Amino acid sequence: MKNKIKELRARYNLTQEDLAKKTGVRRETIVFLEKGKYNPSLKLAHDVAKVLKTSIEELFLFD
Amino acid sequence: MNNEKKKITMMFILIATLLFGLVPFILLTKRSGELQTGNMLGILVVIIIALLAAVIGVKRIKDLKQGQPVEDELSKKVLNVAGARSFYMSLYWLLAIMLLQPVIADILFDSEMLDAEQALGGGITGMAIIWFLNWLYYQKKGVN
Repeated sequence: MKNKIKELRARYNLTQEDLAKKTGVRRETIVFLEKGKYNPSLKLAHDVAKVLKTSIEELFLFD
Repeated sequence: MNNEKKKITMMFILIATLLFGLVPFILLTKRSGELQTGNMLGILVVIIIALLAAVIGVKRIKDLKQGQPVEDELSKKVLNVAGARSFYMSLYWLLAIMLLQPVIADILFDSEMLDAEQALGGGITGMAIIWFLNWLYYQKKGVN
Protein backbone atom coordinates (compact mmCIF):
# COMPACT_ATOMS: atom_id res chain seq x y z
CA MET A 1 0.00 0.00 0.00
CA LYS A 2 1.53 3.33 -1.10
CA ASN A 3 1.14 6.55 0.84
CA LYS A 4 1.95 10.26 0.77
CA ILE A 5 3.31 10.52 4.32
CA LYS A 6 6.84 11.55 3.32
CA GLU A 7 5.56 14.16 0.87
CA LEU A 8 3.12 15.73 3.36
CA ARG A 9 5.61 15.52 6.20
CA ALA A 10 8.05 17.54 4.11
CA ARG A 11 5.32 20.04 3.27
CA TYR A 12 4.71 20.72 6.95
CA ASN A 13 8.43 20.65 7.71
CA LEU A 14 8.14 17.78 10.16
CA THR A 15 10.86 15.23 10.88
CA GLN A 16 10.05 11.56 11.31
CA GLU A 17 10.71 12.04 15.00
CA ASP A 18 8.25 14.95 15.20
CA LEU A 19 5.56 12.92 13.49
CA ALA A 20 6.29 9.95 15.75
CA LYS A 21 5.94 12.12 18.86
CA LYS A 22 2.73 13.73 17.65
CA THR A 23 1.16 10.35 16.91
CA GLY A 24 2.57 8.59 20.00
CA VAL A 25 4.53 5.90 18.17
CA ARG A 26 8.20 5.02 17.75
CA ARG A 27 10.27 6.62 14.96
CA GLU A 28 10.83 3.16 13.40
CA THR A 29 7.09 2.84 12.93
CA ILE A 30 7.03 6.04 10.87
CA VAL A 31 10.02 4.77 8.84
CA PHE A 32 8.23 1.50 8.01
CA LEU A 33 4.99 3.39 7.30
CA GLU A 34 6.69 5.70 4.81
CA LYS A 35 8.33 2.79 3.05
CA GLY A 36 4.94 1.09 2.76
CA LYS A 37 6.25 -1.88 4.73
CA TYR A 38 3.68 -1.59 7.49
CA ASN A 39 -0.09 -1.34 7.29
CA PRO A 40 -1.15 0.80 10.26
CA SER A 41 -4.19 0.31 12.45
CA LEU A 42 -7.19 2.49 11.67
CA LYS A 43 -6.41 4.60 14.75
CA LEU A 44 -2.80 5.25 13.72
CA ALA A 45 -3.87 5.99 10.12
CA HIS A 46 -6.40 8.48 11.52
CA ASP A 47 -3.81 10.09 13.85
CA VAL A 48 -1.22 10.45 11.08
CA ALA A 49 -3.82 11.88 8.69
CA LYS A 50 -4.93 14.36 11.37
CA VAL A 51 -1.37 15.56 12.04
CA LEU A 52 -0.77 15.93 8.29
CA LYS A 53 -4.09 17.76 7.89
CA THR A 54 -5.52 15.36 5.36
CA SER A 55 -7.89 12.39 5.17
CA ILE A 56 -7.03 8.70 5.33
CA GLU A 57 -8.25 8.23 1.72
CA GLU A 58 -5.90 10.91 0.47
CA LEU A 59 -2.97 9.80 2.60
CA PHE A 60 -3.07 6.10 1.77
CA LEU A 61 -3.39 4.96 -1.81
CA PHE A 62 -5.30 1.70 -2.07
CA ASP A 63 -4.46 -0.20 -5.26
CA MET B 1 8.88 6.46 38.67
CA ASN B 2 6.57 5.68 35.76
CA ASN B 3 5.31 2.25 34.80
CA GLU B 4 7.92 1.57 32.09
CA LYS B 5 10.81 2.50 34.40
CA LYS B 6 9.38 0.15 37.03
CA LYS B 7 9.17 -2.68 34.51
CA ILE B 8 12.77 -2.17 33.35
CA THR B 9 14.03 -1.94 36.94
CA MET B 10 12.23 -5.19 37.78
CA MET B 11 13.75 -6.79 34.69
CA PHE B 12 17.29 -5.88 35.75
CA ILE B 13 16.65 -6.96 39.36
CA LEU B 14 15.55 -10.34 37.99
CA ILE B 15 18.63 -10.61 35.76
CA ALA B 16 20.93 -9.69 38.66
CA THR B 17 19.19 -12.21 40.95
CA LEU B 18 19.61 -14.92 38.33
CA LEU B 19 23.30 -14.18 37.81
CA PHE B 20 24.10 -13.77 41.52
CA GLY B 21 22.16 -16.96 42.22
CA LEU B 22 24.54 -18.77 39.90
CA VAL B 23 27.60 -17.95 42.03
CA PRO B 24 26.67 -20.07 45.12
CA PHE B 25 25.36 -22.79 42.78
CA ILE B 26 28.69 -22.96 40.93
CA LEU B 27 30.71 -22.83 44.17
CA LEU B 28 28.64 -25.54 45.85
CA THR B 29 28.62 -27.90 42.87
CA LYS B 30 32.35 -27.34 42.31
CA ARG B 31 33.11 -28.01 45.97
CA SER B 32 31.11 -31.24 45.94
CA GLY B 33 32.81 -32.27 42.70
CA GLU B 34 29.53 -32.38 40.77
CA LEU B 35 30.34 -29.61 38.30
CA GLN B 36 30.01 -31.63 35.11
CA THR B 37 28.99 -30.91 31.54
CA GLY B 38 25.29 -31.27 32.40
CA ASN B 39 25.46 -28.65 35.15
CA MET B 40 27.56 -26.37 32.97
CA LEU B 41 24.87 -26.56 30.31
CA GLY B 42 22.31 -25.42 32.89
CA ILE B 43 24.58 -22.50 33.84
CA LEU B 44 24.98 -21.62 30.16
CA VAL B 45 21.18 -21.60 29.72
CA VAL B 46 20.76 -19.13 32.58
CA ILE B 47 23.58 -16.89 31.29
CA ILE B 48 22.23 -16.85 27.70
CA ILE B 49 18.67 -16.06 28.82
CA ALA B 50 19.95 -13.33 31.17
CA LEU B 51 22.03 -11.82 28.35
CA LEU B 52 19.10 -11.79 25.93
CA ALA B 53 16.93 -10.09 28.57
CA ALA B 54 19.73 -7.57 29.25
CA VAL B 55 19.96 -6.67 25.52
CA ILE B 56 16.21 -5.96 25.46
CA GLY B 57 16.44 -4.03 28.75
CA VAL B 58 19.27 -1.81 27.47
CA LYS B 59 17.32 -1.11 24.26
CA ARG B 60 14.31 -0.03 26.34
CA ILE B 61 16.46 2.27 28.49
CA LYS B 62 17.84 3.92 25.31
CA ASP B 63 14.28 4.39 24.02
CA LEU B 64 13.18 6.01 27.28
CA LYS B 65 16.17 8.37 27.24
CA GLN B 66 15.32 9.40 23.67
CA GLY B 67 11.76 10.11 24.79
CA GLN B 68 10.35 7.37 22.57
CA PRO B 69 7.58 5.06 23.73
CA VAL B 70 9.03 1.66 24.65
CA GLU B 71 6.15 -0.11 22.93
CA ASP B 72 3.78 0.85 20.16
CA GLU B 73 1.52 -1.04 17.78
CA LEU B 74 4.38 -2.06 15.45
CA SER B 75 6.67 -3.31 18.23
CA LYS B 76 3.77 -5.28 19.75
CA LYS B 77 3.05 -6.79 16.35
CA VAL B 78 6.75 -7.67 15.93
CA LEU B 79 6.64 -9.45 19.31
CA ASN B 80 3.51 -11.37 18.29
CA VAL B 81 4.84 -12.40 14.89
CA ALA B 82 8.29 -13.31 16.27
CA GLY B 83 6.63 -15.32 19.05
CA ALA B 84 4.36 -17.21 16.66
CA ARG B 85 7.16 -17.93 14.19
CA SER B 86 9.62 -18.99 16.91
CA PHE B 87 7.02 -21.33 18.44
CA TYR B 88 6.66 -23.04 15.08
CA MET B 89 10.43 -23.22 14.58
CA SER B 90 10.96 -24.46 18.14
CA LEU B 91 8.83 -27.52 17.40
CA TYR B 92 11.37 -28.52 14.76
CA TRP B 93 14.24 -27.74 17.15
CA LEU B 94 12.73 -29.97 19.86
CA LEU B 95 12.00 -32.69 17.31
CA ALA B 96 15.62 -32.51 16.13
CA ILE B 97 16.88 -32.86 19.72
CA MET B 98 14.57 -35.84 20.25
CA LEU B 99 15.64 -37.62 17.07
CA LEU B 100 19.33 -36.76 17.21
CA GLN B 101 19.80 -37.16 20.94
CA PRO B 102 21.94 -40.34 20.73
CA VAL B 103 24.31 -38.56 18.31
CA ILE B 104 24.38 -35.33 20.38
CA ALA B 105 24.95 -37.29 23.60
CA ASP B 106 27.78 -39.24 22.01
CA ILE B 107 29.54 -36.17 20.57
CA LEU B 108 29.06 -33.67 23.43
CA PHE B 109 28.78 -35.78 26.57
CA ASP B 110 30.34 -39.10 25.62
CA SER B 111 27.26 -40.97 26.78
CA GLU B 112 24.52 -43.05 25.16
CA MET B 113 21.54 -40.80 25.97
CA LEU B 114 20.95 -37.21 27.05
CA ASP B 115 19.70 -36.91 30.61
CA ALA B 116 16.66 -34.74 31.39
CA GLU B 117 18.76 -31.70 32.38
CA GLN B 118 20.82 -31.80 29.20
CA ALA B 119 17.78 -32.26 26.94
CA LEU B 120 15.77 -29.53 28.67
CA GLY B 121 18.77 -27.20 28.77
CA GLY B 122 19.37 -27.61 25.04
CA GLY B 123 15.68 -27.21 24.33
CA ILE B 124 15.22 -24.04 26.38
CA THR B 125 18.46 -22.43 25.16
CA GLY B 126 17.57 -23.20 21.55
CA MET B 127 14.06 -21.80 21.98
CA ALA B 128 15.42 -18.60 23.56
CA ILE B 129 17.94 -18.13 20.75
CA ILE B 130 15.33 -18.89 18.05
CA TRP B 131 12.96 -16.33 19.57
CA PHE B 132 15.71 -13.70 19.84
CA LEU B 133 16.83 -14.21 16.21
CA ASN B 134 13.22 -14.00 14.99
CA TRP B 135 12.68 -10.82 17.01
CA LEU B 136 15.85 -9.26 15.55
CA TYR B 137 14.81 -10.29 12.02
CA TYR B 138 11.33 -8.74 12.27
CA GLN B 139 12.73 -5.65 14.03
CA LYS B 140 14.86 -5.00 10.94
CA LYS B 141 12.46 -6.23 8.26
CA GLY B 142 9.18 -5.06 9.80
CA VAL B 143 5.82 -6.80 9.60
CA ASN B 144 2.83 -6.01 7.48
